[in-house]
Amino acid sequence: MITNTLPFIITFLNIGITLILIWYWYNLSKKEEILNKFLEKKEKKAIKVLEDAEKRAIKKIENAELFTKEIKKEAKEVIKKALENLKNLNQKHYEQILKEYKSNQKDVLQKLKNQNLQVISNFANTLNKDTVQIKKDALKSVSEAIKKSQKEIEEYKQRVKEEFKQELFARIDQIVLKVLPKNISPEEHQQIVEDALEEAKSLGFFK
Amino acid sequence: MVPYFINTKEELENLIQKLEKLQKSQYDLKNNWEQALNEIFTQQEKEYIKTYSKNYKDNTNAVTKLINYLQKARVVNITLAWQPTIKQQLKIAQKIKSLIKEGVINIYYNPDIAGGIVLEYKGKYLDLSLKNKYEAKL
Repeated sequence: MITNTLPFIITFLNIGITLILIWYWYNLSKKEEILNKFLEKKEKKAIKVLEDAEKRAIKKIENAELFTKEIKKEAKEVIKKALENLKNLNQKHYEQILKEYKSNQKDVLQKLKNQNLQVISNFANTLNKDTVQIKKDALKSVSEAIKKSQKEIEEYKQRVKEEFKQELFARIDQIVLKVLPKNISPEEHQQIVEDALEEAKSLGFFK
Repeated sequence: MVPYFINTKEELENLIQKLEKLQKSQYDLKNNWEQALNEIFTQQEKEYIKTYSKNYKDNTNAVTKLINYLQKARVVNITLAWQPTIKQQLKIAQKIKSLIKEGVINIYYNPDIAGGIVLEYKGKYLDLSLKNKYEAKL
């Protein structure tokens, strides 16, 4: 009975641990989503700040009377480029954060999974060992029971044979003892009796 | 001594009955002794009784003593598997009497013993039947 329930216990534990992992993964995904939104918001805000800065810089350049048209154009290009670089840097920074976060999350999940797998594996090994032992014991018991039964059957067969033999001998005895007197002549009977009386004498029966 | 011609218990009882008959008869055992014996007993029996009574002055007393004596005679019970002829019976009886010195045999017939003899004497029992020997060999 124990042998039959063990696989069910292992399966049940596996399902439980899988459910915990799914729940954990689901929570992490939710956190990731929140983080994504947060980062996106921050990124947008940063871009807006940079864009505002760009607009203000360009406006100041246009209003500057000292700059020639070419200088103004060049200055605008430099500012745009610088801001573009900033935007890129900013984006890369956020992407890096996200990447690290995902990597960490993946590591944590993998670690957790490995740990759980190890626990399950250990538990399963222990159960397997127990199951094997239980199976061995059960086989031993069954084997012993079979041997005992075989022995009992052999003894029974022997007893029946013996009883049959006894019965057969008894029948033969009956026949022999019935037939024998009829096949002995009165003279032979007489002689047997006389011999028997001599035997009785030698045994000291008549003293 | 038990008469030589009495071999079986049956013969012995028959003789005792005759003696008791004599004892109870109306004969005057002093004056009509010979007549009484002739009436009741065979020649062998008469001779035996006469020989026995010689030791006694009174015939009545002799008969009483003889009855008592014969009643105490030893008996060997034997069982045979076949019914012997008179001649065989006599031979067996004489053989046994020679072994016990004095007494009679009492014969039983039992075909189940197959052959041989079963003896009972002085409270002892000995089975020398073929059945017993056959079973002992198995």
